[in-house]
Amino acid sequence: MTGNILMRAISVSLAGGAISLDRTAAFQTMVSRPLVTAPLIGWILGNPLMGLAIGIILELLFIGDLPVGTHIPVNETGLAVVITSIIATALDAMGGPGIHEVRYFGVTGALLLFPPVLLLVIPLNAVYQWADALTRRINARFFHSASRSLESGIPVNLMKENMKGLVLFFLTGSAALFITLLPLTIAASYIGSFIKMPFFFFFALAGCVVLGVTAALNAVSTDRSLVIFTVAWLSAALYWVVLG
Amino acid sequence: MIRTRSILKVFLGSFFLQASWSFEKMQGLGFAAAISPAIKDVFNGGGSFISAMRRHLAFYNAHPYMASPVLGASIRLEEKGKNGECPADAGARLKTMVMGPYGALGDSFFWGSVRPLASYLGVLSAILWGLWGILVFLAVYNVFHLWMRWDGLVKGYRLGEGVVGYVKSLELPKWSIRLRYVAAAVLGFFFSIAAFNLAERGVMSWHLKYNYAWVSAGILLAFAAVMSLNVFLKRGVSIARLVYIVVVPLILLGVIFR
Repeated sequence: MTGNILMRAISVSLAGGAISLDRTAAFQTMVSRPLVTAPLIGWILGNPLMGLAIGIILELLFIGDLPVGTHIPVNETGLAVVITSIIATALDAMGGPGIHEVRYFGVTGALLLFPPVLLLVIPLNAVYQWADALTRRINARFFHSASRSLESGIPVNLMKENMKGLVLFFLTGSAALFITLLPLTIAASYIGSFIKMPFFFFFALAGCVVLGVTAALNAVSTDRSLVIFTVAWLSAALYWVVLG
Repeated sequence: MIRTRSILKVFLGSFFLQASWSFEKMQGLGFAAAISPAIKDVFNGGGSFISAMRRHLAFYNAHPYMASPVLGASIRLEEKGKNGECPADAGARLKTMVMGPYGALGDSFFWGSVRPLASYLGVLSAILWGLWGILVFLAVYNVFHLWMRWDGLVKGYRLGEGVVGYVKSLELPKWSIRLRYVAAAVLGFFFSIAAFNLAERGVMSWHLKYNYAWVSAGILLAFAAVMSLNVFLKRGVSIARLVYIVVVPLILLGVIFR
């Protein structure tokens, strides 16, 4: 069991470290957004739809935190990796036939674990930000090394020097994920073995969705956004209530 | 003459512009690494190549996609500089001149508008069609992203310093606002569907007699909650803090009434 959890933590951390490269170091194709990351991690752990449900809420919650200037935003990729992994482990520990498919009041059981796990992992963002900041400080050395060579008239392979930063981002990202993921996964496996599905978290889950929509609305704030949002909401609500 | 292969290498290199991002020099090394295959073509290696690379290995920071037009224009200006049509450092000077404005333009357009729009379309698609929502999100976002990476580079190379006029002609700030309007509408539709489902299930979880009055009340309550919480965010309360302010009491409420 412990060996299984260890292997799981290693594979998820490496996958998470690779996906995290998309945040800053390479591509920026948005595969590092929670909407993609959480289902990918869910797929590795055997339940992509659970990951998708988690990813939707995280995506909305953190869409407005932008990497502008030197500001390092909340590492929503790290949060998506850890939350999905903890919930999948807890569900496995709860056991029983079809535990991943269990629904309470139409909501997938996995999502009911989301609010308390979210509260637990938000402080871990400090670890990911610290690892990110450390990488960004060390990266300056590659610049200076290349600069010294050019100043001395020595040709230098700048692509290779640049890629050292990429490797460093991957190593620190994966390590930060692993050191936070392993203890929490072990704890989730232990706690999951003696708890039942906490359906009373339903209201907290609804609160997370409402808060996510608020954060998302704030992210596209303009002079008319609120009016457009309200009209669209009202049109669809009328459709559901009157015609639906 | 720049080979097509070198332009392709610059294009690929632009995806790694931030690979060695540092607080001190930001994208400086990434920019120099990306442009190096084309500069090698311009100067055929040798001492002039090293001098040119010294000019480009400097502090640089802009939005990563908006570096593409700058890369293209800098290559063109290095060519012109070699032929004596402009000062040798014209490319490096252009780069320094536009990085600030292009950073702000890119942040506002890509991070502030395209990403939310793609994200909300992805989220809406995900609740309607499951995992296909991921593809919708990635497709919508990367149409804009890859267009700027490739077209920006090619136009930059073709126009040289004229790239400034090209970027201006795109009217990104205007489009940024329009995309936000569309994003707000998509979010409104999503919220209506989500609120309806949650209200309906909430009514069932409270063992209330199911009727549309209860469900409507639930939807209205959710809308009122969004409007109230929006005030907190507008006043600068961080989303992480707001999560605790909202979720902890709701967990306690659930525990009390279970």
